[in-house]
Amino acid sequence: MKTKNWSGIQKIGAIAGVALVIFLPLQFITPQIKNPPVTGKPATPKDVTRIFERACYDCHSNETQLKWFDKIVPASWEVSNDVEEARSRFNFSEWDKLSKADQQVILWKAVNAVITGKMPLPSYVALHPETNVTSADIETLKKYINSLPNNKPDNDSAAQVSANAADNERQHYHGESEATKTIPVALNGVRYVTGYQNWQVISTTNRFDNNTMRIVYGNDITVKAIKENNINPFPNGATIVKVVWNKIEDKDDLIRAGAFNAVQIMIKDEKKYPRTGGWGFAIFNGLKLVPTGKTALFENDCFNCHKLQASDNGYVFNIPLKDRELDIK
Amino acid sequence: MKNKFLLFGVIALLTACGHSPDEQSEKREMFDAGLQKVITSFADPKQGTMSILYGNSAARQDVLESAGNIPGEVFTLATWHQIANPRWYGTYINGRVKTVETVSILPSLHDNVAVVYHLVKGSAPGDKRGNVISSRDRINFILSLKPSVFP
Repeated sequence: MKTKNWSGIQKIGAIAGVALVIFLPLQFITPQIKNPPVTGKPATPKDVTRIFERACYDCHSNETQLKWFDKIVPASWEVSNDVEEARSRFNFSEWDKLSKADQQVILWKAVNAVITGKMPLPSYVALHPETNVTSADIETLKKYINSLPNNKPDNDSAAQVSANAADNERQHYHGESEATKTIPVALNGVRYVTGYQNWQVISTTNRFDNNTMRIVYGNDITVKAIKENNINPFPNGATIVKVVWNKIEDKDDLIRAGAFNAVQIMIKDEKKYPRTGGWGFAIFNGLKLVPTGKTALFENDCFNCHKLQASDNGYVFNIPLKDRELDIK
Repeated sequence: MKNKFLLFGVIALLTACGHSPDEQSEKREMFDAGLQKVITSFADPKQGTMSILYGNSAARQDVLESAGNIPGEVFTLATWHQIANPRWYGTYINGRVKTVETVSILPSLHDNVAVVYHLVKGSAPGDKRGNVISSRDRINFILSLKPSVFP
């Protein structure tokens, strides 16, 4: 039998031919990204809108503009998935479908994703350099979100209402828990945790994006994991309880914990919660401790944000910072 | 060959010396209030600090029931420098501990109580002008803090 000796050029030609035979037909089944009608856009200042349009709109809007290479298989599959997922998270073209409160939450999330370099996706920026966000852009975004209504201190009458609400709660509170009667359970199965007040406080936070004060507790497993820096991943059984109060700004310029807002819980159980990084999330609202969520899917909202911003921290935002991070202002 | 051993020795020594600061820089500190539990928290944006008031069971019973000071109460006020959370713009998180103060209620003559202030850690807190606040004013401030609700 005679064996054919292929030259270098022949080999390259053969490979290109095979690739063409495989990929050419696939181009006919490339996903089509449609741009549905724009129903309402956010009323942001022009300089902010320009940043959003340049850096976010290709995925988070109905005004997606693809480059020619975004439409070629296999890249087009990835692009299509990204656009579909991005629009499901939030869509600047259907902004009017969100409540004012949700709009504000999403703006903070979007700006945070940009500030921390998580968005636009670095892989996307590499091929679409025009979507890059500069430090000047970030300053513009910070200035904008700091001007949002939620961030303005209460005026005197609103502060008085908040203070009265807190006083009223205190009068009826004598150290007992609503949960001692019936333990509330979130739709994903996470149960309210009693007795967390006896745990170690791992951190405290003061949020100016949503005007709340928080104290974060960890159980023994959590505290041990933090001390040993064994947090990626946190061990099973780790439980974190965050107690949230609305802020009161008083006449002495102090910000105090006012009326009770919610208790947020994270329970680590890799087997029970594999879809959400091994963490079971829950929020129990108001003194009645009403669980957040109309379906068990509420936990996706929690995890998406924790995953994007805190994946290097075992998906937890508020564990104590490392010693070397403490001198960064 | 001798020089090579010397070089390895120097490298080993440098590595050993460098290990400890690295370990320290990776540490995450948590303030341990012992058996005391949280009463409330507040922040002072002008001072750039965040504080938690803890108390033993007698202290918490006093603030929850407005029972009046009784001997045995111990309050601890821990104050941290606040730091912008690197993982979320819009949040301050506690950084290094700045001060730890305690107020203890002790028995005194004729059924009276003595209120004792102790600065356990850090420099004496100052007012807006930078003047040191008297122990008496710190006691009044700490005992005036209202409890938060923990359902």
